[in-house]
Amino acid sequence: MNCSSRGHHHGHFLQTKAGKPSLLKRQIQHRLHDKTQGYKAHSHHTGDNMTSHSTPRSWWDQFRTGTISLTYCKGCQTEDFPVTSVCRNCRARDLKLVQRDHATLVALTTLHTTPVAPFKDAVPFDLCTFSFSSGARMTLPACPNLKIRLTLGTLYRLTPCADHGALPHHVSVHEVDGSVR
Amino acid sequence: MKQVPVVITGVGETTIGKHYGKTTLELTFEAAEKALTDAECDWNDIDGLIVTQPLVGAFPRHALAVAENLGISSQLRYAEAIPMGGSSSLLGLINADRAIKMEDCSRVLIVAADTPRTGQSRQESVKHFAEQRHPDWEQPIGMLNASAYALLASEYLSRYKLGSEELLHLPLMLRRHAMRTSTAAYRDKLSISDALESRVVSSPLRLVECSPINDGAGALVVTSNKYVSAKAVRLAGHGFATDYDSYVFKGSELEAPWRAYSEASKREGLSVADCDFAMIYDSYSIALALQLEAIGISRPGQAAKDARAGRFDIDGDLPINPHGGLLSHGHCGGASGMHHLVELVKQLRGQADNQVPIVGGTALYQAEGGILSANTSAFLQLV
Repeated sequence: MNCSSRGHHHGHFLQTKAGKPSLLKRQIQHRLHDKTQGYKAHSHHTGDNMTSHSTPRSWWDQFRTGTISLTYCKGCQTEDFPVTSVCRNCRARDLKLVQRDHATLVALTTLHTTPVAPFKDAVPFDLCTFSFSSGARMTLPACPNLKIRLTLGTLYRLTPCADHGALPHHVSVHEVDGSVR
Repeated sequence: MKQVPVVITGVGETTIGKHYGKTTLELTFEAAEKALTDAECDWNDIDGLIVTQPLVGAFPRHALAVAENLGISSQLRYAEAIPMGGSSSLLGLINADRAIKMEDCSRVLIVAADTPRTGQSRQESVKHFAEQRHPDWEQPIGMLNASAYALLASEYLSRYKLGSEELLHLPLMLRRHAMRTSTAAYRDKLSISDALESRVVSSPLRLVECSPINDGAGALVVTSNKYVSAKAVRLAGHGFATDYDSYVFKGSELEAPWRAYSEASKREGLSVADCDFAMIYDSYSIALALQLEAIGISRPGQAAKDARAGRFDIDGDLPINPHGGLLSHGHCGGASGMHHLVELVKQLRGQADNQVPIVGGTALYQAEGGILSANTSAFLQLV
């Protein structure tokens, strides 16, 4: 699943030289810890590319295991993102994650500078906003080792990557026919 | 509710830039004292206090901490701090208007002050804003405020098939205004070649398209008009609207600025056509472009073209941000947006450096906080 050869030690970039880590660092650290430790006990696939959880924790756990998903509401048949535990359209609670990995690139920025760790060691990197056929949108960093030029308006198949480097989560993109652009 | 006419009777502001050695509370006091003097009233007359939440020198119950430092705690009948980013100052005015109309208080002091330029490093300010991004979906991917606006700009430029240099005409227009405004922090001439040489922060946005962080403060005194002298300014309709908080929850359309404007417009039947000028919150070039187009001042995709054609200049058909806006007058962190209001009042009174011809005595202020998240619109009018 990893698309680069970065080290797998997941905590090193969060260490501070001195003093208490910033709030942002602590939040990222907590989230990574949950994903690598606690979440696995609650995560389970149904085998038909759906899970019974629709929470940010479940979504990131799915992402780490190679699946990009949207929230699907059984009540109103709406697919949505970001993931919520209550449907934003009909307020139903009967939500599931459903795998969806084809989306069109609608916005792109290359971030050239940031003071925020661990990302300050990853610049420049691309943030991409993708639009799914349902209208749901998702913003993720592009794989730093991507060999292609991202093009707005292009339909891509997205593959999650969860390296433990300066860019902890990102996606690799491929043309819908399977070939990397 | 009994309808008591409410007006702004005093404005005050500090200079914008570096205030070495001064705290946010000191700037709060300076701006407030000037506003009280302008309103021809005294500290003892204030029975309501509204403040914005600063990046530097914030207290957990900021309004109460400011009140105790100003020595007005025991006389207050209303106090609050508003953490709505760039909309905070205008929402403060709207809340003051409500408080006075409900006869909760008779004179409200609204103060916005911050010292992010000298009180902390620029990197700390950027981190502070980054920590306001969504904890589940934006912070884990390294999203910054600048990146969120850059993504809006990317989609906008792609939709209208515009080059990345197009939006530069908005900061150029604002710099022309700032060059004629003594309180503006950035008054050097800015050419298109200068702007093109400006470094890219988060593509397509360059540094000149991102508002520079500064120290500064501004204040208003708002009261019922039984205390009023000449040149008072009243709120003539306001509206608020939101579609999302975080960029990642934004849909494909941006509608909330229009809804806020429409609500403000229908209160008293005013529109942009009635205005001598407009103040539009301009934290980024794209924020200004999207609001100008959302509320119908410019046609879709045409805001920068209108700026280049001089439509928003002082002799144009609708001057925008004649003090230079956040992009050239300066962005005072948690106090940003207050200087738009102070400038608006000074313009309507005919007291501004870069004075717009005042004909009808009406102006629009369209503000936004977050990533075009908290949209607030108001018409203000000479009494």
